[in-house]
Amino acid sequence: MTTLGVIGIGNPIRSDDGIGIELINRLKARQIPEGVELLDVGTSGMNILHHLKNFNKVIIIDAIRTDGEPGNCMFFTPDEIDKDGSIKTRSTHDANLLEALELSEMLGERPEEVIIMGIIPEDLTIGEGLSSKLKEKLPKIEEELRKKIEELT
Amino acid sequence: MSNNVNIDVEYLTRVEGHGNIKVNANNGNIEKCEWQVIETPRFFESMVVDHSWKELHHITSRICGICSIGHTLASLRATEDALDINISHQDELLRKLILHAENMQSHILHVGYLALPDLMGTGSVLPLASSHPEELKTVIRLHRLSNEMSALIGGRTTHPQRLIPGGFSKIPTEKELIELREKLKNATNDLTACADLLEATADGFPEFQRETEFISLTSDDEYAFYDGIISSTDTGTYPVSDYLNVTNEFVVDQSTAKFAKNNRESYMVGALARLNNNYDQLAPMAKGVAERFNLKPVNHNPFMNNVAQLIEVVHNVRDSIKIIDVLLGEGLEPQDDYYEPKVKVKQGRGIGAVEVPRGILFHDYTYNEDGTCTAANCVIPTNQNHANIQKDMEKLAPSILDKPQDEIKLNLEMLVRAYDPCISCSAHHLDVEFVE
Repeated sequence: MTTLGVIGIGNPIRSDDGIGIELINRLKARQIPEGVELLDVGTSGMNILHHLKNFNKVIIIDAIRTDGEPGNCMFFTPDEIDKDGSIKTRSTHDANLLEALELSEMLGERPEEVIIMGIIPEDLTIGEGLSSKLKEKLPKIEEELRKKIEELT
Repeated sequence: MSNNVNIDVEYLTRVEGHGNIKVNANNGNIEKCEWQVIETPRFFESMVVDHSWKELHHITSRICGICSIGHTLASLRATEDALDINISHQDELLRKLILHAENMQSHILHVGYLALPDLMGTGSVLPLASSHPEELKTVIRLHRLSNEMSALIGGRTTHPQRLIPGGFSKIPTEKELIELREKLKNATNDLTACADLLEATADGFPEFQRETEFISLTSDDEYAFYDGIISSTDTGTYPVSDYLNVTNEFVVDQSTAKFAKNNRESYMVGALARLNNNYDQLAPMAKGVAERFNLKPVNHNPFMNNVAQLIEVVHNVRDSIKIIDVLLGEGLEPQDDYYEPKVKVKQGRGIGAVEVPRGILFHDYTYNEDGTCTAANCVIPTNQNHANIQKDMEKLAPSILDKPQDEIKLNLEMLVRAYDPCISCSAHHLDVEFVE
């Protein structure tokens, strides 16, 4: 039975916004531990709600805008985000990730453990492929993700 | 009159993308009334140039996270038109099925998660989880069903993989279709519950009428989504190849998105436009819901687009059952997985027109003899609606100036949300501020 969902969010034609999808595609080509499912959910925010119920644990990978060097990645839980900050008001989509998580919790479907892996983008303009900065750091970012997956399985 | 009003909504919420509402009134006179679209232009038409006919539908599917299936289908139809590729009757039925799934998915999301909070006065879907848990679960069940349906036919819920020029790389099994039919049949109670819920709250929609033109696809055979010709409530029908003469996109100062017009200053596309053009072809159960809301063609109240969306969801479910019955009745023609239709590449131009949740969508591609794209044009539903939103706002704002400012603001926001605009679905990054 699948217990860990690794979910990539993003748009591969908005440059570094596609980092979550790129990581999912890279992992698909490699050996991953049993019980791990890899998902590319694209940019549809609320759809993630229907995937969450299938897992005990999830890692959600997305580009994040916060202070720091492009290519830096960090793991955090939804509780660590300032909910009254910009995340609630500047979502570009139908419903943002935090709303989906909150709804999932209210429905009693939220996985026991939710980890967000955020990667700071350099470039979010229209275009295919990652920026050179992220490309350079990609092996390291992938390694960190693989370590986290092992930790959780 | 001493009505001084200053409405300044930056980044309207519960719509896709970024738009502003600006209304100023001085002594009861409107000085400014603008629907501003402030998205960065997206340049998809340039991005697909130099790509192969095999890739275009994957790229354009990423235009939108909500209408990714619709963009995929409009793209495939344009490519198939340009390269003279035919698809089988079975593949056509499967495509109609997945388009129903997407329409349901999008409409339920809009009516349930985005519009209902206005009618219930909760400002967001989250409070509904405690105030109306059963109703919310109904909405979520229907949304989930449409997602499962998209995944079954397209390979995943969004950005489908199995739809390719000439057909499908993998098709569902008869057993899977039988199971899906069962689930769709079981959704009847949920649909009725949703109609009850909307009916109980529908008096929250402002009374408003403004005569306008409605444009959608139409077909002799069915309530058109996948196939048809262009139809206007003002001027009759046009072949799809005439789309540029119907859409007439133009640039305005207040918006980075283009506006469009045909017979009047503006026109409307989407569920209400389809319903106004094709009402008689709705499934009987869907027509029953329309009658409950007294929605008859031609309806000129844009707020009724929310109701039209729910009516279409009922139609989508009922017509999907009918399509599965036909597929199973004819017997599913087996096909190997990873199937690749044989395609003879040629030079040419093709146009695909498909009804997606927010209205009629056109993709127009030109290919060279190698099957490489040399030119592309996409006319997106929300762009066709911007001018109509502006004109509605110009009529609505002066008529509600005597209301409290908060109510004026809410009514104007509801007007824009009724169109379910998808201003930009092309980026998804989180803005994160950590708790200090």
